[in-house]
Formats: sequence, C-alpha cells, structure tokens
Amino acid sequence: MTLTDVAAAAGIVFTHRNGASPEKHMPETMGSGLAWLDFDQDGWMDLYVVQSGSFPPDGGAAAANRLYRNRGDGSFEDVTERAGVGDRGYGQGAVAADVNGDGLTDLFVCNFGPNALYLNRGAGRFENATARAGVGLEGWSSSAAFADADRDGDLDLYVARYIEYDPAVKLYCGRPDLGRRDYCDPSMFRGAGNRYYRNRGDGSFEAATGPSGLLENGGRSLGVLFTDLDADGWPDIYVANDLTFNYLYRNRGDGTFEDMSLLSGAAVNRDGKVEAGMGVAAGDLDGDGDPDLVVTNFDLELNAFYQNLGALMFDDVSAPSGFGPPSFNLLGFGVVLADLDRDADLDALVVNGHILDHPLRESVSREQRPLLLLGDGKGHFQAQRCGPVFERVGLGRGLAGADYDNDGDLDLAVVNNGGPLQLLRNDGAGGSWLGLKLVGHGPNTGAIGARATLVTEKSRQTRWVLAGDSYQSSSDPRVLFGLASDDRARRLEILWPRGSTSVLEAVELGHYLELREEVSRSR
Amino acid sequence: MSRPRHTAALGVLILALEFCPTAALRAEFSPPAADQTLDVETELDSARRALESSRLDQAEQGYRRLIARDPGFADAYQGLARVLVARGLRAEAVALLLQAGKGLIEARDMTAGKAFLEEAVAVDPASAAAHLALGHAYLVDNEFPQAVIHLQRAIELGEHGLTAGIYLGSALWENGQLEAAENVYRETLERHPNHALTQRSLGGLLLWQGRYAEAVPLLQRAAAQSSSSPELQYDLASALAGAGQVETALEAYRRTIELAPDLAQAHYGYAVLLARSGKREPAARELAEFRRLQAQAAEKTDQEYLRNARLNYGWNLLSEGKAAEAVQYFESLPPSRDRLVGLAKALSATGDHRRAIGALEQALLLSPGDRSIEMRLLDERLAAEE
Repeated sequence: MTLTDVAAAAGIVFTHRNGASPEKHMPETMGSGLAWLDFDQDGWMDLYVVQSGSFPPDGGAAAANRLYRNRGDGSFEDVTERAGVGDRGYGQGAVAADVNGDGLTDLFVCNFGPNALYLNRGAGRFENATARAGVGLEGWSSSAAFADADRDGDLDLYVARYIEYDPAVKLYCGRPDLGRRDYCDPSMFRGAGNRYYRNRGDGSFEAATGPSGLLENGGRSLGVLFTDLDADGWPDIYVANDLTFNYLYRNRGDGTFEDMSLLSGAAVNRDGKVEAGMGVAAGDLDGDGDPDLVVTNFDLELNAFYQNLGALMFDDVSAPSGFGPPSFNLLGFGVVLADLDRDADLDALVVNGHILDHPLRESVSREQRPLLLLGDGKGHFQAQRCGPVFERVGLGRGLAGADYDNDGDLDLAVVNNGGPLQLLRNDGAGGSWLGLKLVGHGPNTGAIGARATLVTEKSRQTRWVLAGDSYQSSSDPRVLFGLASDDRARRLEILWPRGSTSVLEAVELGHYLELREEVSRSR
Repeated sequence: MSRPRHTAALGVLILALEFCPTAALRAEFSPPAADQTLDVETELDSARRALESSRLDQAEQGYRRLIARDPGFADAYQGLARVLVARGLRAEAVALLLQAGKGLIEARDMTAGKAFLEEAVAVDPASAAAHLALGHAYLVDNEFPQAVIHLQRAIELGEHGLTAGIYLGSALWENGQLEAAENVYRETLERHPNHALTQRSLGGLLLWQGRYAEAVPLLQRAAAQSSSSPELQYDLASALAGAGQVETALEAYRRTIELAPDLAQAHYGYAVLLARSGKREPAARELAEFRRLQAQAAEKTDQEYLRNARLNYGWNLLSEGKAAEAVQYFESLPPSRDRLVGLAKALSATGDHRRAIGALEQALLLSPGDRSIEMRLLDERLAAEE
C-alpha cells in the first residue's frame, strides 16, 4: 500500500492561512480541519476545507472556507462561490451530516468567533441557517460531532470548545532571555466550556448542556466523539481535553448524561497524568466487537490507546500495544482508524506537527512527519512508512478519510497549519473489499450511529457510522471493510440507530452496497 | 568583556584543591589573602592581557587573587585553567574547567557551564571525564543528540562507571532510540548487577514500554534496596498491576501512599486497581483524593505561567525601547512586587527617577529585605541626584 499526495494533480490548490503574527496569538497555531461529504449526491465524495485567515478575524475573503466538488475522474473543482458556503469566520473545524432530515448533507462549521450552520438546499447550493438554528455561539470552538442522543430520529450536536482567549490581553510567552517569543501554554487559560444542542426537529436546536448533566465550564476541549461506547444503544460522548481530564459521559437514555470520566480509566494516562489531548477516534482495534478509543497527545506523551473492557471501563494499553511509543517525539493532531492496507485489521494514521516555533527539546522538531501504524487486529501495532509522504514533514492538523475515487480503499486529506492541503490517494492495497452506504429512516438519513458487522470465513469486523471525529474534521460516512483475497463474506449485520437490525447473507464483494433501513438494494 | 560569571558552588573548590593529589597544583593553590579593595574588572582585564602576552606568572597571580576574593568567580577559574594549559599542565587545567563548569551547571547557568565543559573537551579530547561531564550537561539541558555523542565517547575512552551508562541510557531513551537505550542499560547492569540504580533504570524503560512482566523482577530488586523511595515503589506497583499481579500491586500502592500521601498518581493507580477488583467504595475514595491533589497542583501552575507571561510582555516592551508603553502596561497589571519592579525600571528608562523610587519603595514594603530591590533603589537615588 502507498499513499501519494495528488492534491495539485487533482486540482485542489489550498493553502491554509493562519494569520501568524509577532504577537503569537494561540489560535494561529491550532487550525484547521476538513469534512468529506457527497453534497450533490452523485456518489462521489466532495471535500470541504476550513480556512482561518487573519487574526484577529476580519471576515475578509482570504478567510473563506472552500468546497471542492469531486468530478468523478480524479479531479476536483472549486464550487465555493456557487454553493454559498465560503464561511469567513476564523475557521477551525467542520462536520458534515443531514441535520434537517431532507436527505441532503449539511455542514456545521466551528470558528474562533460565531459558529455557523449551512443547510444544503440542493442544486449545489447551501443556505446559512445559523440564526434560525440557534447554534451561532461565539468563543473558540474546535471540533463538533452529531448523533441521535435522544433517539428521536434527528441528530443532536455536541461542540468541543477550547479556551477563553482574548487577543486584547497582552502576554509574552517563550524565552525572553533569548528574545524568542512563542505561543503560550493553554494551562494559563480557562476552558471555554462545551455545548450540547438538542435537535428540535424543526430546523432549530435547543441549548441543553446543563439540563443534560453535561459540564458547561472548563475543559479546554479539542476533539470529540459522539458514539455508543457501551453497546446499550445510546450514543455516549468522549472528549479529548488539553491539560485537563478527558471527558467520558454515559448517555443514561433519559435525556441526561452521567460523568464517568475518571472512573472509566480514559480520562488520564496509566500514571494518572492528564495529557494534552488533541484528536480522537474510535474503532474495534482488538477485534472483540466494541469500540476502543485513541487520543493523540503532545510530544513527550504517548498517543493513547484505551482498550474497551466493557461497561465503559477502559485500560490504557498505549505502551504494550506498540501504539504509543512511536509517538514519543511527535505532537499528534488528526487521527484516522481504518483498514488502510485491506488486510481486515484496523490501522491508524496520525498527522503531526508542533505548536511552538521552538520546541523545548532538541530531539523534537517543529515540522513533523505523519505516523502510520499497521494493526494486527488484536490490539497491537507496528510503525511503518509507505511512500515518500512519510518522509515529508509539516504542521499536520485536520485529517479525514474518504474513498474519493471509489476504488475500495480509504484515501485521506490533511490540512497543514499555514501550509498546503494534502490529498493522499491510497494505492496498492491488496485483498478485497466491501463498501456500505447506509441510508437511515428519516430524519437521520445518514444512519449516524449505525453499527455494521461483517462476518467472513476468516474474520469478524465491526464498524460504526460517525459524524465527526479526528481533529476538527469528519470523514466519509460510508463503511469500508477490507478482506484477504481468499476470504469470503458470510453475513452482514446492521444495527440501525434506533435499534432495528438488518441481516444479509452471502454478500458480494468489490463494490458499494446501498442499504436502506427498510429496503436493501445493491448499487 | 564578557559578564563575569559566578557560582556559589565553586566556593568549595578551594577546599577541594587543598586535597588535590597533584603536588604542583597544590603548590599553585596557596591562595593569597583576600584583598577586598581589589577592582575586579581591572584585575580580570589585567590578568587576561598578561595571559595573552604570555606573562604567565603575572596572569596566574592575578587569577589567584580574584579567586581568593571571590571563590565563586568562574571566569577566574577559566583564566587560571588557560595558564595551566600554557604551562603544559593539561590534566590540571581540565580538572579546573570541569569543576567550574559543573558548578555553573548546578547553578543553572547552562550556557556558561556548557562552554566551560566544551573548553575542557577541547583542551583534552581524550578525557573521558570531560566528555562525561559535557554529555551530562547536554542531557540536563534537553539536548539529547549531543548528550548521546559525548556520553558514548566517554564510554569509548574507558569511562565504565555507573553514571556514564545511566546517563547514556537516558539520553538514548529521550532521543527515541529505545533498543540502544536498553542495550546500554543491560551492559551497565552486567557491570553493576547489584546497584539499585541500574536495576531501576532498565526496569523503568521496560515499564514505559509496557513490558510489565520483564520490569517486575528488576524493580523488585531495586525496591528491596531503596524501600523508602515512593517513586520506585510506585513504578513497582505499576509494573505489578500491568503484569496482572493484583494483590501484590495493591500492597505496593498502599506502601507508596504511606511513603508519599500527596503522590496523586499513586492514588489513581490504586483506585483503578481497586475498581477492577470490585472494591468500588475504596476506589471512589481514592479517586476523590486523586482529584483533590490534581486540582491543587494545576491551579498553582496556571497562575504562575500567566503571571510570568504578563510580566514578560512588559519587560519585552522595555527591551524594544518602548519605555513609555511599558510604563502604561505595568501600571495596568495587578499589584505585585514584580509588577512594581518592572514599573520602576520602565519609569527609570523614561527618566522619571522620582516615580521609579516610589515604585521601588512600594515593592520593598511588599518584599522586605529584598536585596535586589534595595540595590535598585540605591541606583535610582543616585541617578535622581545626578
């Protein structure tokens, strides 16, 4: 398997502008992300990339996010203006999901400044529906995720927010003795407090953080997952925090959540130390059918692999699994868990890059290479390099995967802070594959929260449909399974978000299968 | 002329040199009586010029007088070392530079300390002791690649002591060279099999990599020798827990907490193991204690960072020559001793010595007996009279 950067060849020429200045404002070093979505429903995944711009934000054209439509021939065209979705906030993250149940994928944008919701109106156009939806909160938002938390059919929203940062407050961080000004430590600032919005089902959201038992203050949150972690059918929330306990909230199923953070074992590392968590992902890394958690952390900290023990208990196996140690001198951001080499086992790709102009340790560089970890399906990983992409250094931030060329392997896009976007085309993966496009019964037409299990002659693989993960990003919601060439699929089981199930026997491989919650048909 | 460098740690050097085995050096170091009227800058300059023109006796006397007056005067030791080099006494020169350099490192003047140690290596590239000291300095200063180079060289030159192996293993570990670090630790353990530090170092590396079962016997041996070390007890508890030896791990956590009740991570590890053993109530108690200890530590760090960053902004304005802006900035900060000192400096830079004096007097009220404020106050009063 190799990954090749084909952004330029594909017609995507995007350079992230972070507004870097001698004042070293913290937002400059943190963005940004991206979202994959099929906005025009032509079967080809399109790409929405978040731009930041000048800081403090000035709303200028240089800050406009970009939407690239996939032509289906390996190339993309910039359709931002026509689509009306070039949000000009100081962009951080984005997540794509059908928010109003009309079958079209919408976009929620996290900003330093008011967030924005763009509803897909069809015919290639979006409408800014932020005010009506009631989700335009100011402050510093980082990542967001959707899930049907109350199982009423529509998607609710959780927004991870970073710190209370006022650019008017003058601070000088770094090494004044050496005349080196640098970005400040986040521990100096209070957490901005995350927000949970319940979807009313009419195009608007109700702010429901406190009433739901969720913390409204503190946190310093950067990444979020909104998915069922204990297989009780109710989506739970897991948040990666910077220098504070990670949060794990158990969905009680009655509209409220219970704080299980410390008890779960996934709030801190094995030594009880809080870490600087950035990106987060979930996947069945040890093949036991439940979602394990990974968090990307600072240099001198290991990226964390929390093995799911059931009942919302997790064990930090970062070291013995081999997942953590290769990250020791790297600062991780975006992370994707996927079977990149199509051997039926989940792998991990992490993009890295420091936040300081002058890292404190000589063995840590500012620009860093991505890290590929190939899994064995039993919770063990080995670092590998597959192509020149792994020798190239950058300031990796957002990372999200999509099979943009529909060839059955996952491709990836990377936003580099202050640098070019990378489109990593995956080639050479062996084995066979099966893709699923799950269409839920409305309003959750994207079947966010569905669980798909493929039983083959040699393996049993489980995947979940998510809207929002990694760092400030969201991936292709379609499910991809990889199998060995000589393996055969026996059975496919779908657990839909509201609890119904579908079972298919003798599934044909090598194509995308569209499954609807009531009716199945092959495409 | 570079700023004279001092370290109190060098004060012990005179005493140490009285026991120096090199007769020549002992003879050289009968210090003259300290002359408190000595003009340090002039004497130093005179000694340097004497050395440059090879008037070695004069140079040596000058440096010795400076050392007698101030046993912590690192520049004088450096000068004296250069005299010794000129006399062909390289080993003695290296010894002096090492002592001076190590003293500066101890006083956290890393740049100066490393410079002295670099000079020691330059004087005698075959000195294992010099490479060891320099390698250690780089390790302390987080410059791991350089640390590895010099520590490896020290070992190649025959430095097989415990510390060389431990330092090199640490440097390799920090540099991400885990296999090499393990090899070095194992070699050191072979040479010093009964030393707690070697057992602990290798055990620590294995623990860090999640090789719990391999770490346990090493940490057990180390803990048997250092039973009062809470950090070591904690590592052992962690390894035992990871290796699935639950009851022994629980006992080790209890022991750790007895030794160090404020070690937050011990409460956490204990809580997790209790919870997984089905002992939920004691687990909840331990978690509550862990949370309390964490909150205390976090709040202290946050405020300190923020305070320093705000003060540094003002100092940076001053360093950029923006004195008037610095005055306004310091005036806007919350009252504190450091804010008043910064304000005084800024006012002084604008020529307003009267107000600078006022600020320093207020600072002295907040920090009575603070010698640095008293010296600044004296300077401002003298400047005001001028």
